[in-house]
Amino acid sequence: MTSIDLRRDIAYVIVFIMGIITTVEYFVVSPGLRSISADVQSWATIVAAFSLGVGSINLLRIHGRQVVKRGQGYYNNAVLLAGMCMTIVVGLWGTTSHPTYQFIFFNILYPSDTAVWSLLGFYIASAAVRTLRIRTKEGAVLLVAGILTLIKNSPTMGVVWGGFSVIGDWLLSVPNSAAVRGIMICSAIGVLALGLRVLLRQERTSLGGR
Amino acid sequence: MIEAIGNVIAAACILSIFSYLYSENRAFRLVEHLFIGIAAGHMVVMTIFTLRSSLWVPLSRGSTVLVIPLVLGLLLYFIFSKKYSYIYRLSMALLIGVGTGLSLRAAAHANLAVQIAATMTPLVASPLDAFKTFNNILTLVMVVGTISYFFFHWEQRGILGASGKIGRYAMMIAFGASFGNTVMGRLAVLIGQVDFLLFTEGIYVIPVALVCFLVAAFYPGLKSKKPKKDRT
Amino acid sequence: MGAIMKLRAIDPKVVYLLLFIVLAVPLIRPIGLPIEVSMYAQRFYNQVEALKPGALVFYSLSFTVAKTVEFYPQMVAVTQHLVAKKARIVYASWLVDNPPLVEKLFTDLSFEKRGLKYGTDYVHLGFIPGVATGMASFARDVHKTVGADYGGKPVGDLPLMAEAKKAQDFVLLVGFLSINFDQFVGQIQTPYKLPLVVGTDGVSFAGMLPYLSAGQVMGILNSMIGAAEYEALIRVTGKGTGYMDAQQMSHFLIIALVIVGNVAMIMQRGSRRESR
Repeated sequence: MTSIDLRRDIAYVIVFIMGIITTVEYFVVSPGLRSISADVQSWATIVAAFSLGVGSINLLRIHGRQVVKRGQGYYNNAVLLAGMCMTIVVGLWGTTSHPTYQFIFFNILYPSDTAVWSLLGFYIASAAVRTLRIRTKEGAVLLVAGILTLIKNSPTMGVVWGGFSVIGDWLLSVPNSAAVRGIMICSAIGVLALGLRVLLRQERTSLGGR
Repeated sequence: MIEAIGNVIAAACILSIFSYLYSENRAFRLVEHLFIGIAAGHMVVMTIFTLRSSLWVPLSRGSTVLVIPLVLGLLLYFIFSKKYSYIYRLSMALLIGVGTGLSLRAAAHANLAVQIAATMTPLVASPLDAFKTFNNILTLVMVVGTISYFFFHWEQRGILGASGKIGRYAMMIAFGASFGNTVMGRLAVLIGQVDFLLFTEGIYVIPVALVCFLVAAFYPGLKSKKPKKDRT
Repeated sequence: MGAIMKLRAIDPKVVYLLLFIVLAVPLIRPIGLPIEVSMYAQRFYNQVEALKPGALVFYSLSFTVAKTVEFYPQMVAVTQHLVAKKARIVYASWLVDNPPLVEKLFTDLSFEKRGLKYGTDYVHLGFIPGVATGMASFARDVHKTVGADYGGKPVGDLPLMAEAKKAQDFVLLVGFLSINFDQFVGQIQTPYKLPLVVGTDGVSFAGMLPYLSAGQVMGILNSMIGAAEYEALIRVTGKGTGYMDAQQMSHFLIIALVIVGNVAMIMQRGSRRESR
């Protein structure tokens, strides 16, 4: 066995042990196992916090490289890095409750992020007249269900005719719930299968394998 | 005064993002990069505060066992080393193992067992109610139909084909309901933006934005050089 | 007829402007369209209304900052109700975006002026990382997962946290969840069989209904409409109510545009058949 295989093997053994501990303690009453599992889960929470920093460092590397190389549109990368550094300095110096941090968060980050999401509202309006067509039977069912849901979410229509609310409620609580439940059951089976594959080292891409 | 300045800056950011509706431009990309940078910085700040509360404070109060996750967390950063990058797998193994174990038990209990039990309601409603009985039967038929749609191992013919078809139509209803609610949600976000632009100092930015838009429309050299995409 | 065909080929920018106008007019000049309370919001309200004074409530958030417009009016209305019921609340977030919003909630609702004491009546634990891992660890052992609150004060020093050591110590779970709600149900609600009420956005609402019918979720607030319904139930006027006119008018516009587009398509097909 090569040293590369050994390095990967150790990682897979850890995956298996941690997965088995976490799964078995849920179904078996064992105070010792529960205590170990509780410790392991709290450690994983801390390691997950460290993993957030990996993404930030990666961002620094990629955009820093663009700025140093003076690539195309490098001033945008410089703005990104400046925003990042400014936020970190203000946050660590004054905490997130500081008025300056609150100013940055609620007057730049929040409105910009929300504006990007709200662009979809405009595209939906445009798509409504240009793209949303009844071409097939399934498409017709989808569109009619969508329209009925929009009507149900307009309480005025419920006051005009009570039937709209009744139909909308029935649509959501019977056929919609049934279908989503079916999808949920199937995806749960998929999660179980994938989870077992990961634990039994059949899913090699999970730790950088091929 | 500070609030007014903040509202003006916020409105300028919003209108820069909205300018994408006309075409991609420098103002949009500048604001986009700025808020991504701030979001990344916010994540770093929150990570540090979280580590302070979940690691540093208990460690300083005597929980020496927390040295283990501290070391494992630091080992994650070996991913950036070309020679020793394999070391990060030890920490990833902990995260993957615990995450997999947790998802297995949640899937088995919350998403499988409980949902199947909820489907197995008495078909005939008690006390007798024709509408509830119809709903119970329809729910069972649609759940089974949806599940059978995902049987890719066998050809969808005969009973399986009919069942799969029922499942397909049930899913179309679910997707339609999801679509209707998604439209509502997106419009709600847009309403918040419009309300902000109209009822704060941001309204003074609108004429400035209109002037900038007209200048950009009549001087195409100011537009971004990236090719236009079909945005409908 | 020609007008409908022209509408189908309308420039998208005209549609954007039309939508802006349809949203702006009811905001400038409210119409006062009626609001009907749904059974989902009523069930949410009933759960909170049934709380006894001093009940320990876990209040958690998991949505990106972009969805604040959908969630914040719900949060304000529900928190007002919880405070009126004299519930003791532990706040936490599963995403990094949410802790500043919790701080904003305290300021906007003037917690200090209402006489609420931090550490005794409410505690803010901040961001808990790891999503499912963090949720499972928190439910198992709160103090092991979160050593200090959002301000860095050790949780052992907070009187309220002496009673909040594990998930079963909470009488009610209140979640404002967009993403990660299935992990929340799977890691906290179902294993410990705790009553859960959820505020959610439009995208996630339809997917939560199986949990409602299975008894895993007791009540749901659906986006802005949910906020308006809850405000009607607790008899306050807030952002949710204020936006409802614009919300409903925008729905009517979308429905009209879909109908116009499909009528034009049918007419175009008909004229093609005739020309053959």
